[in-house]
Amino acid sequence: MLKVIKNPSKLILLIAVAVTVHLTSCKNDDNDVVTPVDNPVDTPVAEINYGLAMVSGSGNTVSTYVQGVKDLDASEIDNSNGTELGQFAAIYTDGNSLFTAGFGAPATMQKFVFDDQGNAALDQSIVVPGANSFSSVEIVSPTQGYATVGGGLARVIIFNPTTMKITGEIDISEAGEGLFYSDMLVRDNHMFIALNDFGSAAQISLAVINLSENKLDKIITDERTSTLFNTLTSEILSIADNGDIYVSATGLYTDKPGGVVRIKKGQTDFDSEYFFDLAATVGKTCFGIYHFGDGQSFTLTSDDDANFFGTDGANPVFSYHKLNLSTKESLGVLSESLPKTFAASRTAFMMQISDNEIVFPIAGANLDAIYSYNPTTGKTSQKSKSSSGYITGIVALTKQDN
Amino acid sequence: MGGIKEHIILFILFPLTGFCQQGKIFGSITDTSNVPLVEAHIYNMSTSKSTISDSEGKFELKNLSLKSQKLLISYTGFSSKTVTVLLSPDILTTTIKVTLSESREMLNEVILNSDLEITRLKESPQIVSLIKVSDFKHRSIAAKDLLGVASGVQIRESGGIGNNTEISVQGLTGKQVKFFLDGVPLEFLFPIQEFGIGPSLAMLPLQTIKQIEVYKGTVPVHLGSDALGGSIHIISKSEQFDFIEGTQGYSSFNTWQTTLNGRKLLKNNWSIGVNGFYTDTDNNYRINNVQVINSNGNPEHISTDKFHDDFNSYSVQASVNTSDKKWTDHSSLKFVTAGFEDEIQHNFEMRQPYGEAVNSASSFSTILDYRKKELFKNLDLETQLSHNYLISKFKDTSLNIYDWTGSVIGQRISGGEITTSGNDLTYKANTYGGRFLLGYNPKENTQIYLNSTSSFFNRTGKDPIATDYYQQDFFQTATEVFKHVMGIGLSQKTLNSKLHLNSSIKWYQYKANGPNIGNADIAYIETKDAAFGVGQSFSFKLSTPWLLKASYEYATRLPDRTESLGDFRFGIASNLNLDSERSHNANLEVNLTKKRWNFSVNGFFRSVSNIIILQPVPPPVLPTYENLLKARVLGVEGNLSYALFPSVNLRSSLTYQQITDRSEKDKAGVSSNRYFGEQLPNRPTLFGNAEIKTMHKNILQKADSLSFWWQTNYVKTFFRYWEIDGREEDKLKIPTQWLHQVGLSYTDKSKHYTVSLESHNLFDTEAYDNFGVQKPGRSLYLKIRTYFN
Repeated sequence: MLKVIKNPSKLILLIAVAVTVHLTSCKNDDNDVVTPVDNPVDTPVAEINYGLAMVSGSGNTVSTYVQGVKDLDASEIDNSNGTELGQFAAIYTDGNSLFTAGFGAPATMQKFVFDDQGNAALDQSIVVPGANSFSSVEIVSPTQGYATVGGGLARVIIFNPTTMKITGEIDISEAGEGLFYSDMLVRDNHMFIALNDFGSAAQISLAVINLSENKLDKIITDERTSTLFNTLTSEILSIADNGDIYVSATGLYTDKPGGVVRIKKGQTDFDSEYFFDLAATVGKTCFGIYHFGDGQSFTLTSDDDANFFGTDGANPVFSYHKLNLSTKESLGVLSESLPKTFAASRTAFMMQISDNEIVFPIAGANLDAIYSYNPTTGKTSQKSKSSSGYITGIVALTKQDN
Repeated sequence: MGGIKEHIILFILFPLTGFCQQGKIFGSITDTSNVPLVEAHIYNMSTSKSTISDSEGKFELKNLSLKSQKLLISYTGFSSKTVTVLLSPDILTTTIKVTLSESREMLNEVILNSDLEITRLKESPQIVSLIKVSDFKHRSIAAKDLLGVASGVQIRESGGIGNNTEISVQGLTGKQVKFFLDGVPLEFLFPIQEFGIGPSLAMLPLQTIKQIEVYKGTVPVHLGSDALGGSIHIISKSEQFDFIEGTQGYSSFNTWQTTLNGRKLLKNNWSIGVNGFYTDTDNNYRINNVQVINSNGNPEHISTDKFHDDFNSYSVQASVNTSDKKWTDHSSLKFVTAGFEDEIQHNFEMRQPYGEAVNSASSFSTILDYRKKELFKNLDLETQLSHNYLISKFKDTSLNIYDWTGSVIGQRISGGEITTSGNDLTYKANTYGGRFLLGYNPKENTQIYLNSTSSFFNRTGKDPIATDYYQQDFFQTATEVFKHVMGIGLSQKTLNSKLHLNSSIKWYQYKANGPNIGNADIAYIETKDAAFGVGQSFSFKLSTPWLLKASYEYATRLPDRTESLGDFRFGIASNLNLDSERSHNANLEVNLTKKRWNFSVNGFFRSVSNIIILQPVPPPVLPTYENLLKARVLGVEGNLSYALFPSVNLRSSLTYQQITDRSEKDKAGVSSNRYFGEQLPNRPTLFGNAEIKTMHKNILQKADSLSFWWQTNYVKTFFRYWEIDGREEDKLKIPTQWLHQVGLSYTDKSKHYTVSLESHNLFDTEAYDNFGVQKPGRSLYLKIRTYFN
């Protein structure tokens, strides 16, 4: 998409989100492999193992298309098997089906199941009237999911992904007005919701939900960085194997540096002893955090903050960047030879599909593709080229409903 | 001696008295049964002025030069007749009686050939469709509905009365098509951008319109605008007699519509005119398959009536006119007030209902119009100066959440129904307009035109609700837009007037400044653009009845204020790098006119670049208008009119168009040439309409009349998104539409009263012009017209 926006600022985002309203911005449930609840040994190997979302179109007629694929090894993918959603949408999974959260009122989440050919069939929808769209979704099991919505409704929707019924709500209005819920993460008995105030408080805030009581427990803040801005990437809260949660903040619109803070395992407050100053270390604005193990953390950096939320298709400016969260080191760009990617909602994400392979999309000036990164060798390679548009989501499916 | 003196004085003063003496022609027009023909058209070929007959079939022409006057008398359904009347100092007044006989020619031609003025236009090099409004004046339709009968023209509406309307002419659409009233840009009269083109055209009741000209491809120099490939020119009636006319209509969905139109002649060729329009509708038509959400959060589909779509609008025009003065042929001072209030029922694709958001506007215009032929030797002048004052409001402050039944089902904690900030916006704007048209006739069959049209727009406003949210108010910073279009044209006839050539050069200029929407600190920004355009067209009378036309124009459309400066209300950022849209327009038309039928076929080509599009982008990107696409339009359209019997007429038109993408990939926002050569989505390829109309006289009384018509409109299904994307079974489509209208009207013998009954969408078909947005089902209309003169 051609997009040249000059003089970017916080207000652009405010207006954009206020008027056209926040799309989704989520994380591990949509791009990480979800451990199936059912016994994996008893689950037959599915024909369709991945769900794909691709944005296709030109001019002012652009839509997300979803489809199922057996694997990600095809040298070329297209949307000839894709179901037209008629809007932009983010995708999620419970491990069985593909869920879409479309951009545009009312907030609508749709559940699709795939046949053996990867054709998507709509199973059921959940709609939240009056909300503009689902802003973050967290599916923790085939029977439990959480979602926040944008557009003046301060609540978390609790739903059953299998039956697609809303089973409850959590009031989070005490977190404040005019906030955008940019990411969610469940750990143990708590859910953490990143609150985006576009830098107005010059700090970061997370809502901590007690899932035993389904109520807002507290708001935690940290003044060392600011602005939990998401949507360019899909993940700003990431959990490590040891249970620590890393939170990536951009520092945008404030004089605070962008950086990573931590909530240690078992804690529900920020770790005051840990701060990774990305502004000082990387030297560029960083968006999102993907953590796949010690020394295998990644973020997205912008070469040109004047265009960081434009989608200048002729001159994309984003690069994948490697970090070491333990040593607080920048390990440089993933590969100097990688094409730059432009970043609108969901055009950048990372997903580990095996011990030796992390996949990520490139939405470039001349190429739309899925790339592969080998954490062992540190090498990248083009995995699959798209002839029909850019990839905005991959979910792993381990069992089929059809 | 005294007698000689008088003769000497008379001799000296003779030239003066001769100059001052003016003649009159009184006349009456009847059919062969001696029944007066009401509203017969009398065209004075010597003065190029016209009038119509009154309710007794009588007419009067005044202030005529004492010389031979050639009159063309015409009446729909009757053979035209030319009459020459000699006026001299000895014959200052004469009375004529003209009898017309019924003709087997078309009674209801959309493409008219029944009077000289229209025939002249029809034979001009312009590719133009003419719609004679008198044939439709008893119907319960608006001017925009009438446009749809012309081939190549398509009307797309989002819902009922007052909702968004988009008019396409040969593949070019929306802002690419410009509108004029009596040569003046319609935006001088109404703030079209705020009112919308549908409501603006509705404010011009059919009773006040003589004809509508649809220019395709090449736009004449005298219509000074940045039309990219089509212009709609509405010609008002200019009756030169006293009359008053009113209509009252009531139709489904509690829709009332009232019009009033009248003129009073005063002394010394002065007159006053007034016309008014008011409509009010609930728009509460049935919609199907909308979602209500059950307690589990799942959608259930129901049928229900729309509940928050009331629309009312009004316009009042008053004018003081004078004509046939030494210093002017025609001048007028017109005052216009107009406005509307529009409840907003739903979002773009009719997915989310709203229950309280309202948009409204009021407008006050003054237009001074001066026209004079032979201002100097062989030099004619037309000029108009205008001022429009606009107050526009948008209110979106409700926390309530509505479902499609109109019930409140929840509340937000902040914001409005449409925007997260909420809005209580009021802005005020002034538009100043000016047009000068000079026509120079150096020799017979040669005219040179110079037209200059300028406008200046200035706007400021306030929105306290949005200011609370954004901590600043963009509307308090003035937005200003200046536009100027100048054109020089040469018109020549040669080869015994068989060949008619028009050449033109145009200059487009644009400058806009205002706040940079998107900046944290309000910054004042400025953008400007300028472009040249050329045009060449010709018509050639091969041999009776064949007429060949061809035209080419390199046209420009300048960005409007929203496109270049953005719109805070809709969250659209400014784009100072926006270029004007450009288009190469070519047309080739063949006309065949026989006594009982008329056929024309027109091939058209457009090569459009820099198409300005509001690109939908996922958040957080703030959308801007971009020069995104290049497109090619190739199409053919045909018209056929046929007089089956003297009282039965058929008319049909059909248009086929291929609009394909010709964009380079980096312009189109994609990484490959995948869409190059593909049909642009969301545009119909095949559409048309047909009508049969009958008219019978002497039904209940001698000289009364009864008309019946059946009209059908067809649009072939088309894709919402690109055809090559996605699985065929899941593709979103706008379904094929085949809608029917029938109507009946009865006019009594005095012609004072007419009653009309109509049904639109007769078979209650689900109708969509835009994806998901349902139009009204079957509706019934009753209309009563009274007319006295």
